[in-house]
Amino acid sequence: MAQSAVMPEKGPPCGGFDLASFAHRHGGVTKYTLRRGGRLFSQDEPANDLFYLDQGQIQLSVTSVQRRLAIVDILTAGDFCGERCLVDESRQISTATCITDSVVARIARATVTRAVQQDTAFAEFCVIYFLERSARLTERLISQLFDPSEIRLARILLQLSNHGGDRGSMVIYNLDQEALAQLIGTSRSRTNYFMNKFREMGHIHYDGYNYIVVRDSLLQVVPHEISDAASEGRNL
Amino acid sequence: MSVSNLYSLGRSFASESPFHPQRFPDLYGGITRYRAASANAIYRQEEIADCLYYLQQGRIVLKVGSPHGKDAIIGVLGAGAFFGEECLTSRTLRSSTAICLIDSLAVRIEKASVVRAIRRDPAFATLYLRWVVGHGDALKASLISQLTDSSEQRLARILLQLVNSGDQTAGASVEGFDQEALAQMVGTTRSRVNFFMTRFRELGHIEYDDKIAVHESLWRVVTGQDHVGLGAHSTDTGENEK
Repeated sequence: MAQSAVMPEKGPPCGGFDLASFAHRHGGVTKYTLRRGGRLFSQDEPANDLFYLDQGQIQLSVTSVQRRLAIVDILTAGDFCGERCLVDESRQISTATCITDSVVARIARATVTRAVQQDTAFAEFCVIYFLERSARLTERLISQLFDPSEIRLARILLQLSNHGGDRGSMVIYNLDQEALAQLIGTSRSRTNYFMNKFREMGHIHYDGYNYIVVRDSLLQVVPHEISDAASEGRNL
Repeated sequence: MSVSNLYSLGRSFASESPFHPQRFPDLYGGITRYRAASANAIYRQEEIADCLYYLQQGRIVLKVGSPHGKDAIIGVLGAGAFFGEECLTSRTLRSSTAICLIDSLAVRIEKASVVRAIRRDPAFATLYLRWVVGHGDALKASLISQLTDSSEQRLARILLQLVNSGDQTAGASVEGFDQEALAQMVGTTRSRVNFFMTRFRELGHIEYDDKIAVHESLWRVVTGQDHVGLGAHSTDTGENEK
């Protein structure tokens, strides 16, 4: 995520995003609390603001023309959403709903646009942050094209539990099996079947819907990705 | 906006792009312009990512190979697109292979030059950030389509997308994509693509011989008004299990 992004040129690393210092320099920030179930924005609404998630958890969901529901992403503290406001006259692709009580900062489009132009460190941070998000989306798209649902489920559990960066036993909170099914495009019953299987194999632990503990051993379920091409040292 | 309209994003970003590679070298250095012939790879999956590319003319596909020898196409880019952005992220290797679909003119920008430009040139930073956000939207749209559409709908969407993002002089037609390539974009088999293409043609939504002419009526398949599938509302969620 953002913290792990490193720019190579000398100079201060772009690091994370500091809401207080951003608000101090650029103004235009409104901070507020939303209860679980509260919405930041809805699909098809005009995109007027960028949102920063200070605390909590948010899901970005989409309803298709056939009324099928999919979850595009799960965001945690330190993430942004509503970035379509950077594109003129655009509308939200998804609905952002809090899945826990959350503290959110709303930054008006005019403020963001000005900050990007005047504050190169912020612009650099945004570029890298959204590139990392795109890389995550690309990984999911590839998984969707190649992997059976069991492996897609393992991958999404690993991705969601790796939000902090350091590995070990990581915990996912507040996601039920319906949500997991909507993240990987399969049915709840299949999700349930594989979740039980992973639990029996000792890769995960869960009790009810409150939390899922994901252990490193779940990596064994995902096929090895490092092919020989890299070690052969092929060059451009 | 409905998800179905998102596919034109790639083009709208490209066409408004005021990036002028001619002016870039004087300011930041590290730029190489070169021609790449059709079917050549600009970079390959798992090579070290050390530069960003800008496509001045032409068309490229981004192809990913799985450890089991399957191929998938995760993007088709036209003139005005940036690609190879892995160099700016924590990933150090290319996630895909960039192959020219037609003779193309690409601009290679060294990583350090991109970083310098982002830091010193707010106009470039703004332009590139808008590209990044737009490209992220296109990725989301592809992912959403994978999660919610049946394979016939995904195929219809991709054909409409290819028409939208293509060279306008070619009219509403798709060139350079055989059914194998379409299957690699949809995430299904060539034989299923063949089945759907035949049905689309029978319904009058497309015509094809060496290139594929796509009619607006193909949207009827995307929106679910026309079912041509193997069993109407199958959403293929179990397709990958086979």
